[in-house]
Amino acid sequence: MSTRGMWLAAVWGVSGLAAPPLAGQTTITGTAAGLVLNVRTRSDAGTALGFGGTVRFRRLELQVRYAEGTLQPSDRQSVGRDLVEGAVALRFAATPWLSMQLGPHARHYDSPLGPERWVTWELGGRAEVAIAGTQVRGHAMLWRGMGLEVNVPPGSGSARGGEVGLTIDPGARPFWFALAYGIDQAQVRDAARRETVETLTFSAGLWRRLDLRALRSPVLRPPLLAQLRHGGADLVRDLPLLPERRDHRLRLLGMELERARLRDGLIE
Amino acid sequence: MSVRVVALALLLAAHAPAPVRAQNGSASEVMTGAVRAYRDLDFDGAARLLRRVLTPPLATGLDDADRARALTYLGAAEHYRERPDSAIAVFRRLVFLAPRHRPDTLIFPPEITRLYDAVRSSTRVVAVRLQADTEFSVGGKLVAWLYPSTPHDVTVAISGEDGHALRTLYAGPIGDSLDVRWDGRNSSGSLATGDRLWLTVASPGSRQVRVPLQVDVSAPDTLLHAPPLSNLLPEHAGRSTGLRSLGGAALLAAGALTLPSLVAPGERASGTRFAVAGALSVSGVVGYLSQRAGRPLPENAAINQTRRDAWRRQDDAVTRENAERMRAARVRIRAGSAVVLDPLGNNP
Repeated sequence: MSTRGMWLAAVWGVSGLAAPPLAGQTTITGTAAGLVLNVRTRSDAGTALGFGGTVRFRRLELQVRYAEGTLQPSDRQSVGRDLVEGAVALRFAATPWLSMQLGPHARHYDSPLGPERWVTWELGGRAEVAIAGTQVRGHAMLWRGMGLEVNVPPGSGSARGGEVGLTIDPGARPFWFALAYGIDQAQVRDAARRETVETLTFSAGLWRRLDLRALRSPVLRPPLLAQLRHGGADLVRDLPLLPERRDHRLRLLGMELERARLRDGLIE
Repeated sequence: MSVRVVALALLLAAHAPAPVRAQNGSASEVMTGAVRAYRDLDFDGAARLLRRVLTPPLATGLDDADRARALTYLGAAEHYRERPDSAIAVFRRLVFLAPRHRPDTLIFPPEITRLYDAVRSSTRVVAVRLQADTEFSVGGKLVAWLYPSTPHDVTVAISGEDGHALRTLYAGPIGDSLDVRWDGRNSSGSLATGDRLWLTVASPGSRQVRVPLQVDVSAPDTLLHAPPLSNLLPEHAGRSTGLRSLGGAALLAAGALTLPSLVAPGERASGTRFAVAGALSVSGVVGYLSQRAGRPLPENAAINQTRRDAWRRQDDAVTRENAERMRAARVRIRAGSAVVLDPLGNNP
């Protein structure tokens, strides 16, 4: 990763941490999806299968994507090559419709000539627009490579790309579908080598929202949390008074009383 | 002057009545002389000494109990001097000074106590007793005890420097006594502060009793409440809603078609982008048709509800925090001496 890219990543992280939380946002939204990719380059094309997922908390979203498949040459004479593709992106929602993202994107080709790896650090902006309420949304994204590294032949260069797509989210049900078209072009410096890849991606997945407040253990209820924050001996004194323990003690006490009553009855 | 005349003068001076001897004494000595003169049925002398003791500079040496005692003797003396108007005026002054005072029936005969009771019944005034310095936190109260001369209706209020009532504490009848409490707040619920506040007890058509109050509040800063929601989405589609959806979808479809020329100029792009452009176009038309003007937008309503709930939670949290902070506030009230004003505002 270049120095420029590291600086950008640092600024990105700081801006994300410093962003004021939206009021009442204590939920984490996660998605998981299966991907079907139609990948086309200048010389070959093929289908790849994969998966992807996102985790979103407040304004920050982490996206992960992985796919692999085989590309067949268009001339039907050359040997096909395997494709493995992966990407990670950290996204910051500056506004409800505009977000910025940064992350690495790697493509690995396995050909008879040997493995070939392209790694790009992508920095881009993504805009979303509601097409039919919140159930159908469209998006457009443009990105620019902050650093490109290729292993065969070893070198670096530049890259850029974009994506346009739409997402259908019925809302009431935790399913969603997406269709997106993306294209990117990478140029290796001093090698007159250029790689253009078009991708048509179909995604089908699930989403789930998790309320952080529901994650709190019954032991860590607000009064006890307040005691923990303040510390002191009250914590030790009040722990036995937690409702569960208190009820248990009362039951034990009741049993003891019943036992004593029976014993007294026998004596009499 | 002959020796006989001088000797007679000295003899007369030695046997002069007590009031004459007390003329140059302290307030208590003059008072003692006045009482002795009253008992000796020298009502003129007693009245003269009592008036002297009730006026400065001797009056400054008397406390309220002594002053009330002096007024009682003076009223009785005036009565026996056959000056009923003076007696009534003195007794009225006594009622203003001490509405709960009663003449000692072992000393004063029934005709004096009857006269006093008659004056007291016709004079409506309230004595106010409260601590000179009171300090309490939020939830505590200043207590003022009221003692009327006779049962009647009163209005008890806290008023500002200009006499405008900040809060009415009590309005109604008062019998034997009444205690009113004030939590330091005005009628709008906020803490009242000021150097010149008054506890005012007004008896309709009669005197008004005012007690000056100095109120100091040491309160911590409180949080501002969240501003009203301004980012609510329209819950019904307007004329532009559908068009905006259609326009957005068309723009994205055009973007999908032109993306290859933007990203990879000169490359021959495949036809897969048409699938996405077509899907976007169809979605745009569906969005336009489903969002005609006037149609409810349940998604926006749900988003608005979420925002309202979040705003309410935030507002409640601020309210709770402010209440918590206000519990630490301390109110200190210092009371001065009561002043009795007639309806025209003059001190009697």
